[in-house]
Amino acid sequence: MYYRRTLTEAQINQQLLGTVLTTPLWWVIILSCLAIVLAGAVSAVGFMVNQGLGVTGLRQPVFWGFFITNFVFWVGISHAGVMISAILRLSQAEWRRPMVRAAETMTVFSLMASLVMPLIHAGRPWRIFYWVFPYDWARGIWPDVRSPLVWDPIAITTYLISSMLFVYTALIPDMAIIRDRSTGWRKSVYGALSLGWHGNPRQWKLQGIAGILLSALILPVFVSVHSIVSWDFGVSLVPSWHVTVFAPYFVIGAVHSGVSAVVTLMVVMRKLYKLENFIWEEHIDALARLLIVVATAWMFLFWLDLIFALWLKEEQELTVWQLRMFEPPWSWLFLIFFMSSYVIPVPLWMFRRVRRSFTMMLWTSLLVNVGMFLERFIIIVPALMRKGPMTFDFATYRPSPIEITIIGGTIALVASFLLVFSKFFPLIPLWEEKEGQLLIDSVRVGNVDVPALVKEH
Amino acid sequence: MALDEHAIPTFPTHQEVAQDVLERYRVVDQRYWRWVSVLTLLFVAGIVGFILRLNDGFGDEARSNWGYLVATLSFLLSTFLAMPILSAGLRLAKANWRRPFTRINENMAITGLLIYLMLIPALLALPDTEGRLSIWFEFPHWMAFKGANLMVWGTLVLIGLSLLWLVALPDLAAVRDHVPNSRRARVTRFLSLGWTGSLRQWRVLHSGALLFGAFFLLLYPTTQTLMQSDFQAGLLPGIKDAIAPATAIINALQGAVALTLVVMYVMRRFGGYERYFGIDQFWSLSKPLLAFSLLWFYFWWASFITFWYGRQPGESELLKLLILDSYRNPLMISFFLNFIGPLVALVWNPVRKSIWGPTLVASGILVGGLINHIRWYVSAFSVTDPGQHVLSPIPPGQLPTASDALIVVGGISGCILLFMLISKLIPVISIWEVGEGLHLVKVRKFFGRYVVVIAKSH
Repeated sequence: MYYRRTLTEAQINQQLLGTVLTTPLWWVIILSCLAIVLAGAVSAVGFMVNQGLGVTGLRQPVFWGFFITNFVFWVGISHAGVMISAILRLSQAEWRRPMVRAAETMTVFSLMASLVMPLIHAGRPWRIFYWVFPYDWARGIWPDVRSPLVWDPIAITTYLISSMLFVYTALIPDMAIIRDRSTGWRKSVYGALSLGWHGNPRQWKLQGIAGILLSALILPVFVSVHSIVSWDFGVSLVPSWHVTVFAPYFVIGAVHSGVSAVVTLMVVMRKLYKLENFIWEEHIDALARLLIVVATAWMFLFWLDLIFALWLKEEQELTVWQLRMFEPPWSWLFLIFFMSSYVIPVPLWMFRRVRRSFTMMLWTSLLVNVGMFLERFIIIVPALMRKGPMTFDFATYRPSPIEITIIGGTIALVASFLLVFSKFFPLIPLWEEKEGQLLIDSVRVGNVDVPALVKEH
Repeated sequence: MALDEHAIPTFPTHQEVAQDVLERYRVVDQRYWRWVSVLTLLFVAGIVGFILRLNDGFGDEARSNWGYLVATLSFLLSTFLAMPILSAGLRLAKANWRRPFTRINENMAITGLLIYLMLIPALLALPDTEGRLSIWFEFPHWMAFKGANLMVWGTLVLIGLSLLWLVALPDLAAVRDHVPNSRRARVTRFLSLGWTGSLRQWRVLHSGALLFGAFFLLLYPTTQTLMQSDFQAGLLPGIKDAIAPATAIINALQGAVALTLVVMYVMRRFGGYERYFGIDQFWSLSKPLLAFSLLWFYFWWASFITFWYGRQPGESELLKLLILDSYRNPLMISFFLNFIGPLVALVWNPVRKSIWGPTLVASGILVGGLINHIRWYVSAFSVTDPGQHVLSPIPPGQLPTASDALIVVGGISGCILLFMLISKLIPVISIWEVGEGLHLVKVRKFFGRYVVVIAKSH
């Protein structure tokens, strides 16, 4: 993607630092609303801890419901960061520049939200300490390292730490710019955080190497995180969970929902922060094309899951799928999921006019994430409802208002974090934008000037 | 097109490329005919091996005789016939570095003819769907797996050939106009369909290339799904491996990149095409090669860990057959050649940024890939009763007989032979694509050194 508007460094600084140096009224209003939702969620958690898990819809044998669905959902959203910043950086996709920081910070905050979910889901969160800490506490029971439930926190915290490193490394030059434009305690804080950055050639070289190395090293973590989450289900013997395709299916589904969330974030950022000079139609067009490929790959893996689920003609497996696809209300949820995740958005994205429309991309990306939340819900709950072979073991599940409030609270949590982050750091990297401006060129072909880029090595 | 701080990068002109490629097209080296002769002999030997196998027929008792033919079929599908995917995919991604080797990928579509012929005896060797696992759910067998396979594979081959013909039109016209009267010129005159290079024709070509490429990209996974489900999963009792088609596709992408590297090296070394296949092409392809090698392990592991943790009776027997016992040695070899070796070698930039490094790794990947396909399909075809609930007894590993070896060698030689023959009809370097790329690059000074600027038209 190529800039058609040339901005000076001063203009880039002024427009991108505006959110850091000033506090618009809408920011205060939105944050206040989110704080109210958060307060409600915290109250709901407190009520649940006090009264017990019985206030949720969880009943035998459905012990994983909305909380675990939300856990998987937020881990999925976190995959946007590596997709946008690491993979597109390694493939030298120029159009990544305005999105990298927002995607990476969304990754960090999504992972925090996902880590909170198992703590809440435990009912008595303090007991988790006994469960994961590598000491038997005189009970003679050590953490079971063969369990994916133990791999989960290891993988997610590794991903969280490496994503935080990724965000921080890329923030250093911008924090130095803010340091140079601040006074008082802010200057001291930004000065400490920017680690003495002065922008000399050696520092830029190290910064570039760090970016490439981190991008390459975070890729295996990115793949392993959601694969390990998928193995929470795959290595069990619950009907319709014991499937070999779950690992790549979950990962590609995560990229699908994560990149869609980035689209949502970009459109909202552009509107709220007035970033029309930095986020263009070409950017969401490129994201939409990426989404078409990712969504189609996801759909292929979904069909493999379905075909091979019916393959062995096992009664329990067929029962679960019958519940998912043909018994209301699950059949309605299945239809909504299928339509929202692929059937509606992907054909729409085939049209250039849709891909370049911020409004259409906002609604289709929101639709995708509604569908992907339902996808995880449909994978998890019906399988547990029909876990036992006997019909008297069949169960139902309905999420309670407590669970719904807590889920809403996680959305408010991530949104609040992003808003607070934008108050202290620019959401679009200044140095990336300036670097992008330097690399712009054009090649004259006949009578036409074709946009071009200096090839990076 | 490598950056060099001290030298100014230079590029040939479109005219120079056209003259060079057409000159190579005009002159047919004696070495070429020697290699064609050798490959023809090997191909004929393969046919002899096939005829020897035909003597035993296609009954249930003789099914294990066809394992190596099916393994070869799958290997060829996952290497030679996967190469047009690279051309289509990189064209969609507008990668400029693909231009010199894109015609190699497209020319490989011709191997679909031989691969399609090999599909027929493979289908005849399969038992009826009645009483065994199948995605056709005991639908009448001619309509189901035989008819559907013939249709899907046939469409894939047809789309591949159509893509090749379409994108070769400008170069066929160049041959028609610039190569003196000969049998080849008469054929190219017919094949070039009166191409004159009008604006409308170019628009149709560009749109058609993208469309055919997209169709090929969509149909290929379907073909691999049928290959895996009908020729492997459908013969292994109790298997439920949903990831297997996806694993096969990733292996195919790895194989396609590896074969492209090897072909480029051979053409560079023995054909004198150094100016077209430089560091840029090898370096750029080494990165997806590393990525696909990592994915090779990832997809294998996803399957293994699910079976390992499940410990269901059916799953344990399959693990013993495919991984732990009967075919453990082939797995170890392909594990090293397809994953460990590429990872250890390609993680180093000096190795990736060389000609020999990616080529050596690619050669290992191709050998490992063949062994892996033998593990998948020979094991499946050696099962005596696919209708069992749990595999018992576990068949031992099956070494190739002389006929099997001839079939494998003959199949691979046949594909290489077809590629060599088509490359004497359709220029192996795409004159118009390379020329188009040359119009989109320029050299300029950038902070004290010379860099290449690459345009991407929309």
